[in-house]
Amino acid sequence: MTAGQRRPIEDRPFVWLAPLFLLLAVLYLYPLIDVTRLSLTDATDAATPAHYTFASYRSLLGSSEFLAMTRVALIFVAASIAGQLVFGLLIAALVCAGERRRLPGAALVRAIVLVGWVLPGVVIGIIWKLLLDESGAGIIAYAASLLGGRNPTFLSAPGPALFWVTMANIWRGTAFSMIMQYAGMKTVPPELYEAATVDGAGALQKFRHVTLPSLRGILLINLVLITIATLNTFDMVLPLTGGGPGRATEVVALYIYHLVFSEFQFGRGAAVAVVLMAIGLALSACYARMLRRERAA
Amino acid sequence: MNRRHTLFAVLAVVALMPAGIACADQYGSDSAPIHISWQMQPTQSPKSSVPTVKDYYQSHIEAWVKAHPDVMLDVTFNSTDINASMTRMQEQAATGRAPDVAMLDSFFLSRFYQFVQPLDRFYGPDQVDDFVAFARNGMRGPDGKLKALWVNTDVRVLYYRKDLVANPPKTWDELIAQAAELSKRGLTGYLYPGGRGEGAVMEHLPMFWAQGGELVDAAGKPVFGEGRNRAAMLNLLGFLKRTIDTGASPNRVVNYRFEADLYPEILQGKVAMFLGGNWMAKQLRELGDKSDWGVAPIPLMTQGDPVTAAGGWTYAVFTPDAKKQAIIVDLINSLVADPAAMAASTAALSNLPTRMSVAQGDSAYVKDPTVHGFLTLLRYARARPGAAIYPSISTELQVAMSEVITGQQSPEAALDQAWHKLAQ
Repeated sequence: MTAGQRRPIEDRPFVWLAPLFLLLAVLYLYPLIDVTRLSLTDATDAATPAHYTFASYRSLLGSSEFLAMTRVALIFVAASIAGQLVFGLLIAALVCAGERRRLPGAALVRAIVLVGWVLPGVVIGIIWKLLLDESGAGIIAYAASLLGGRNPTFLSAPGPALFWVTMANIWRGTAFSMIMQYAGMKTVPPELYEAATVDGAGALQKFRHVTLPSLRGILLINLVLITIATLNTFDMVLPLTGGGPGRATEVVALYIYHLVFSEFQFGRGAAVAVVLMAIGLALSACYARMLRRERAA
Repeated sequence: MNRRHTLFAVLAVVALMPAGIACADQYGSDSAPIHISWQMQPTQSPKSSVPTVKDYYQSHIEAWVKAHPDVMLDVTFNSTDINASMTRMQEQAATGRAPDVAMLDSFFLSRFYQFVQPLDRFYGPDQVDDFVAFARNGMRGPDGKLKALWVNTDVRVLYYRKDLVANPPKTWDELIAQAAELSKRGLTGYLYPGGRGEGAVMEHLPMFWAQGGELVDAAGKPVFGEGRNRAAMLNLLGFLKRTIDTGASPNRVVNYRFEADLYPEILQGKVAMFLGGNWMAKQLRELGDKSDWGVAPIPLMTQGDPVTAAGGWTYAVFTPDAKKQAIIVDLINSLVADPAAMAASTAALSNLPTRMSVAQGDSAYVKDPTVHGFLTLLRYARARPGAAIYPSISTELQVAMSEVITGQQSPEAALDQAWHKLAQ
């Protein structure tokens, strides 16, 4: 390269990456650092001076509501993940089987399932609220009345409310699980199924000994992704129950919202957000590790 | 990538930027020497989905701008999440980035006292004395200065179906007896917001205040769990429990966080009585409700003077520029604050005026029998405390109320839990 001749841009990756780094720093890194800083204060609102302290974290540990929220979040996340994985797997297997048999409507089923994934969370919350209306206008209450049920309780008692909020979240997340697992199933070589058929394996045996082992990697990745998504769920629960009755359906992100925007406890809200972020980062690290392993395999 | 491509990419980004950032409405010419930034509440602005409101603000702002060609109004809007919007505005004010003038929810006004400019030089004592007591008190800060103008308000009442309830109940006992009887006939005797929302607390505060209960003391410290305040709160929670235990109300009231959540059930035509705000009368008619509703003061534990809770919106000025302040005051007066403007704007909004001269005036709107019924309650109205701790108190009371309604906790246990949480 002669003097005065400029190096090709491909040799200077920083020039390409600088705008991305800048965007990431402004849009992600700065808010992340600021939330962490805020979590180390007793900030309430802009009119009150804040002081640096660990009180926000200390108060969380001894707080009964934080414990109650953690319990609700654990049930909600565990049940949602189980439901989304199982239903996603089931629908993906059915769609694949339908396609193998060239049944009409398999693509339509796939498209219908995707509706739950495409709709915004707020809309899903409102739809489920209408479905679960207990005053007689709700479809599910009406169906229950046809079967002889009177005054059904869906959202007006703690247990049923958590159950239905979880069901709504399973309905919402199943489509994503289905797509992931459907994509995984499409990568399984048909020869494996043919060999299993020759060996005399039935449908269940093929599913257990061919499909599931082939999907191991994708299932793990799916597990991590839907765990992160469920932990961050907030937009659907707010219109559906608002976290009630009492605190029966107050999931982590909704708890943060209430602390920050209803009670103006910025320091405490930020502390819970940092805890949630740490869990999310740990899960993301797992995801990255699994992805590397998959690629290596 | 050659230089032409790079230039094209840069131009594309620059061209798209205004689309990404432009979110304000502009009234007046860009070349006007005075630019005023103004943050409005969308429901009380040309953005309103209600035709009468939209037309009122659109026509009045356009007329004002035409008469003031040297001014350009740069209008932005609060988001629909008022809490989040007011929180952001407070951050803006604390960092000197607040708009020149803004509409603030009266409930949040006290949080802005230190940031807003006093308006005393524009409004003398005779003008301020025209405002109803709770608005007058809220408009003045702890230093006695006029911090904002409270330009409209609302009150909470008991709605009752005239064909089902001959004499509206005045006390809790009467309410429960009548509602339980109506419920036995397959109707919903009495409905109210009882879930995780501010509506649940605000609708029930009058029942607490009427017993002499106070949430906070003069210094803003919580006192609702002590002495006679505790007794009053226990009575209120006990009353809510009785509404469910006696069948006067269904336990699904715990799903109703705000007044608007009651509409679907009311529209089914089986609700005999409900607790709600004055704005619901017009909204129900617009939703096609054919019931003949009467309005009465909120039933209290024992018979006495009515008590109700009031909210509403204020206009506050942030700019320290004296010339801009004078222009803004002229704008506010012509739009919502002068007696004539307040009469017209509250009629368009179906809200209530805060000036007694307007409330006792002779406009067709205030002479309407239903509106007149609401206006008679204005002098018994109280605003929620402006103390910084109030939002936390409200959240804990929402939890306590819904846990009592669902039977998760006894009134005593629910109140103790709320009180200890705030003591932490």
